[in-house]
Amino acid sequence: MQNNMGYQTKQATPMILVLFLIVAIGPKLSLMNPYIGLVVNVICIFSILVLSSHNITMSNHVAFMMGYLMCQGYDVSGVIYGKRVVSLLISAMIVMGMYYVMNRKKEYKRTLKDVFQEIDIHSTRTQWYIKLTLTICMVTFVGNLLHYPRIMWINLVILSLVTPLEEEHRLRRMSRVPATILGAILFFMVFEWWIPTEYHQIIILLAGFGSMFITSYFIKTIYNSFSALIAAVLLFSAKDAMVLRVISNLIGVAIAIVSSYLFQLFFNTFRNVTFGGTNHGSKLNGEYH
Amino acid sequence: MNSQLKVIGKSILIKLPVFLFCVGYMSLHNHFFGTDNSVVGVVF
Repeated sequence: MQNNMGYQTKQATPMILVLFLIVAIGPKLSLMNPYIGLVVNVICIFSILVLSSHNITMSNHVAFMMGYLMCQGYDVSGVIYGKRVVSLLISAMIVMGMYYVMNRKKEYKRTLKDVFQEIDIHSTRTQWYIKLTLTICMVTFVGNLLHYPRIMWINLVILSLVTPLEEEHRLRRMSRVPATILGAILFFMVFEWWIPTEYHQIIILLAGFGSMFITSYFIKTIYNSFSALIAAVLLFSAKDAMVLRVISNLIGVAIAIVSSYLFQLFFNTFRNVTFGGTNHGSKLNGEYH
Repeated sequence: MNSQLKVIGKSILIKLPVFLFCVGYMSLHNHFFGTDNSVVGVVF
């Protein structure tokens, strides 16, 4: 409710509709074939980050990126896709209305034009846009070519781990795999051994309520692993879903580490070539409101 | 101990209506747009 996009409310409000339209149309277009998908994903994901995430402390991109990746992961067609678009448009109207009401009296000097003008390869923000966009797009591309069954899970790990701040990235990647394994074990014990099938719905509801009190990334990841596996057993056996979840997380963490290292190397080399080694880069430009 | 219980009780009571709204919203969303589109409800 307190979130803002970091630029003028009258311009940010219609951009929410644009973001929802990207979530509605982008994933469907990207699934046409891997090569078209690569181009569509680059355009859509970069646009989501630029439009929603100028103020990186708000993490506005998370909801739209999760929507994009999940709509891609759970593709539908025909009448159900039509319903998905309608549902997204209704959601967009509600969010736009709430956003405008909450932010109409706040003054922001920055315009949408400024947001685009501030895209600069030497800024930490733009470097993060590039790193996250290209990593997710390449994983999706290679995953599609290899027919990996749950690319979405790898991408959600990357979304969670590739953050603008290196320290946060380091802390998250250390706890991701152990928390995922714990969540998977908990899921297996609860749903396969301890609780009879007729009580599963109650457990899902209680787990959902419990998740509202979680603030620690480690515990949240255990919960996410648990709830993702609940959804996955519709498609796989519990054992296969568990193995796939753990493997996807391991791949996601490995890719996030390698990608961060390689991109940092590239940005440092680029900065040295451009500025001859002076520290003009790594800035978060224009933090005014 | 009592004050701790009060704090816990208060935070549960604050979050319970939000949770019930989410459960109701998801049920309505699934009813109108199908369970295949529940991801949209989750994102919203």
